[in-house]
This record gives sequence, structure tokens and C-alpha cells, in this order.
Amino acid sequence: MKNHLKSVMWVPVIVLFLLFTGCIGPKNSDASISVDLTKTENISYTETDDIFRIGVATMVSPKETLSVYNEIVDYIGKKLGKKTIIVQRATYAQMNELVENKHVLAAFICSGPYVEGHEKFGMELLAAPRMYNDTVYYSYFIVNKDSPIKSFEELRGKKFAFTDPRSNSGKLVPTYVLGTMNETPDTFFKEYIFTGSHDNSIEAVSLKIVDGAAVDHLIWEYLNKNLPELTNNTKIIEKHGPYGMTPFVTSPDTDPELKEKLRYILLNMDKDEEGKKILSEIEVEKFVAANDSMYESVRKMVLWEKEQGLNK
Amino acid sequence: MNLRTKFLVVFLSVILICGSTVIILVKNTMSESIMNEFQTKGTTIARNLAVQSDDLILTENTLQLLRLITNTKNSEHEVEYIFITSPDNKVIVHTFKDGFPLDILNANRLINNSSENIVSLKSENGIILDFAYPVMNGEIATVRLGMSPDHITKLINDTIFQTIEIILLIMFFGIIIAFMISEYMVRPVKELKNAAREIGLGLVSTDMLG
Repeated sequence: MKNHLKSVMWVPVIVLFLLFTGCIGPKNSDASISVDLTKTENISYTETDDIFRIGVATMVSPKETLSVYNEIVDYIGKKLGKKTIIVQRATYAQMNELVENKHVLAAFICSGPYVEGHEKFGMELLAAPRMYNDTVYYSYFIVNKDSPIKSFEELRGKKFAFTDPRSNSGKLVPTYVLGTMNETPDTFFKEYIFTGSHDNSIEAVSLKIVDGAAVDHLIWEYLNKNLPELTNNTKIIEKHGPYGMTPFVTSPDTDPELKEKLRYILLNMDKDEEGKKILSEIEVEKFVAANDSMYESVRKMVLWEKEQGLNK
Repeated sequence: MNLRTKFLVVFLSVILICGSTVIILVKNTMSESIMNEFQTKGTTIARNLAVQSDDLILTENTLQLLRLITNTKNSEHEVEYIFITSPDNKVIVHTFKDGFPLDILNANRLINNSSENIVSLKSENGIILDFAYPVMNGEIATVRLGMSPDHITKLINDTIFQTIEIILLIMFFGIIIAFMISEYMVRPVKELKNAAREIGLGLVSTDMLG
């Protein structure tokens, strides 16, 4: 009994020892990686000439743009024997600046910015996609499927969504149509917004954030086929066009040999298996040679917009 | 050692064993759940940044990207730093004011397109949990977020010390109560012992009356 009691006497001593030596305190951090936060550097990266930058105007949102154009841009790089990367900007005007300043070798842009770029610094056409047996596209005026609105005229006093301020089908066309009605967006709509891209405009109509929008018909059709949940809640009330297809362009100062190579790669893309597969995924039959006359209908509207002082 | 001391030792041992068990339980269960919550919070912040930053990264809108991570850092006091790296591990933007500490760049990498990775870093500012979260499955960037668990550790330590204080208080009153109980229990034994001693010394008459 005496021995038992002696053993018990050690218990508080052991417990106190454990408590104060921290064995039952917070876990130690032996598994941590040691880093020195005081050893710092100012980071700057210089751009390498080994990379070709291909611009893509955000006709659809940047994420969608990446998924649609990534393979084409990689394909171009593979054919050129150089690494290529996609460059995107928030607005069409910024993309035109990149082409003008040769910050990108070439770019997929909208028809309206092509007309403006061609006039401003001689932007050159390389090719244009052929889709659904045609090299033209249209502007769809859309409303929510539950909306009683049946014509553009009925959108008077409503909330409308444009895409980009320089977009042809998403801004220029509806503004021009309003012009034929002796109206401007300010006088006709109660309110209008810029969504930045066609898929955003479709979503805004679908979610009833706006009463109507003008969008690129190819994008609406593409989404209707591949992501119908985006277009299911919208309906087309008017179709305007046709307009020359959104082109692949470059700066007039691009090396002529490189220009020819780029043109050759795109125009022959449908002739090899890999290229054909990439094109079919984005519903493009092939790339065809583009000429400036394809954009006359767009040019007419751009000039009208300028005369009216609406190109801001 | 007399009986009273032995009784006190046993009594205090019981209190200490119970108290220690409580401390261990508090430490293990509470710190684990708080740490899990802390990690969930870090992952949530990193995920939100990944969702909000994709368009800005794709359109190279560095200014807005910097605003996004700076505002996030300023609104969460546990956040020590945020930075975003490209797929080739180049820093796109960061919140460090006096240059970028290169040590942390490779301290945490996403492994085989994993959804996230958390590592513990030991710096001169203490332990930092570093979260790596992919932007668009790592295709365009990785968000890196450093969070200091200092206040969590402090919270756990505070709770443990509060528990120790309570145990010491219980011990103090326990000693008094144990002393009183032992006194109550020992007194008859003591009297019996004294009586026996007196009988042994012949101080008590053993004549039978009657």
C-alpha cells in the first residue's frame, strides 16, 4: 500500500512537468519550409523575341476566347516554328492599338475595328473565316423569350445592352438603325450599358438585366448549338446585315515574308488533319482570302457614325 | 509521510489528471477544428481571387489585378501576402512593398494540376500557411496566398492558459477542502491512536465496574 502511494505521488510532478515543458502545448512546426522574407528583389521580366503574340479581340468573354482560339494560335505557332501566345485586351480599341504598335504580330478582330484600323494606319487583311457556307455575318437584335417586344422600335424607352463601343454588330449596327429612325441611343433608350462581349450581352438579356441587345449572329448561333442554356431564354426579333466576316489582320509594317507565311498557314489550315479538326471544333469551314471590299457595308456605317459624331 | 499528506497528494493528483485531460482535449480538438476552419478560409479567399482574376489576367489588366489582390489583403488581417504567377512561374503581381522575396516563389507549387496545395512556411515573421490555387485549372495562372496563423495559435494558447488558471483555482480550493476532509477523517483515528497509547502506558484504568 505504501509503495502504491509513493507511485501516486509522482503523478502531479509528471503532469506539471508535461504542462510546463510544452509537451501538451501547441504543435511544433518541424514540417515547415524555412524561407527568408527579407531577401527581396525587384522583379522585372523582359519580353523575348522568341515568342509571337497573336491578339484576339474579346468578341466573346476572355475565358471563352481562350478556349476557342487557343488551339488556332498554337497551330499557327507550330507551323511558324515559334512559340505563340494569345494576347487579349478589355476593349476592341486597345487591340487595334496593339496591332498598330506591332505589340502583336497579327490579330483576330471585329469588322468595325478593321475598317477604322485600315483607315487610321493601313491595317492589312490576312484572311477571314468561312462559316455556314458564307463569309458574311449579321447582327441579331435579341430580347428575353418572355418579352412581349416584337420589334426594335418597341425597345423605345427600355434598357439596352451594347457589347463594345467599337463593335460592328454589337454597337455600330443598332446605332445606325437608330440613325435611320432619326434617333440616337441617348434619345431612344431609357438606359444602355456596355457588356464588353457578345456572350455577356446574351447573358444580360437572358437574366433580364436588360430588355434587349444587339449581338453577332455567329456567336449567338455557336452558343445556341454548344451552350444552349445561354441562348434558351432569348429570342431574335430582328436580323441586320450582311457584313464582311471578322478578319485576321496585321500591321502594314509586318515583315512581308512573315505576312505571307501567316496567310498561307490560315488559308491551308483545312488541308491538314490537325487544322481541319481545330476548325471544325469552332464551326469554321476554312479560312479564305479577304479583301477590303468585303467591308464596304461596315465602312458606310463607320463613316455615317463619324459624320454624326457618335463614334466616341 | 502522514495520512493527511497522502490523502492530499491523491486528491491533487486526481484534479491534475482530470485537468490535464481537459487541456489535452481542448488543445487537440479545438486547435484541429480552428486550424481546419483557418485552412478553409484561406482556400476560400484564394478560390475567390482565382475566380475574380481570370479575365484580368487574360486581358493583362495588371492595374486592376493589383487592386484586387491589394484590397483583398487589406480586408483580411490574417493575410500576409498575395501574389499571382504565370504557368511558367513568373510573378505577374504581388503585394510585397519592398521587393519580392524569391525564397517563397518555389516554396509551394501545384502538383500535377491539383486543385490546391497548402504548405507551412517558417519565416522570421513566424509560421505562414501558403495556399496555392489554380486559375482556370492552372492553364493561365496560380494564386498564392500567405496567411499567418498567429492569432489562431494565440487563441488556442489563451484557452489553454485559461484552463490552467481554472485548474490552479480548483487545486487551491481543493487543498482547503481536502485538508478539511482529511481532518474530519483523521481525527477519530488520531483519538483512537492516542487512546491506545494511553492504554499502553497504563494511564487508563482497566478495572471492570459492577
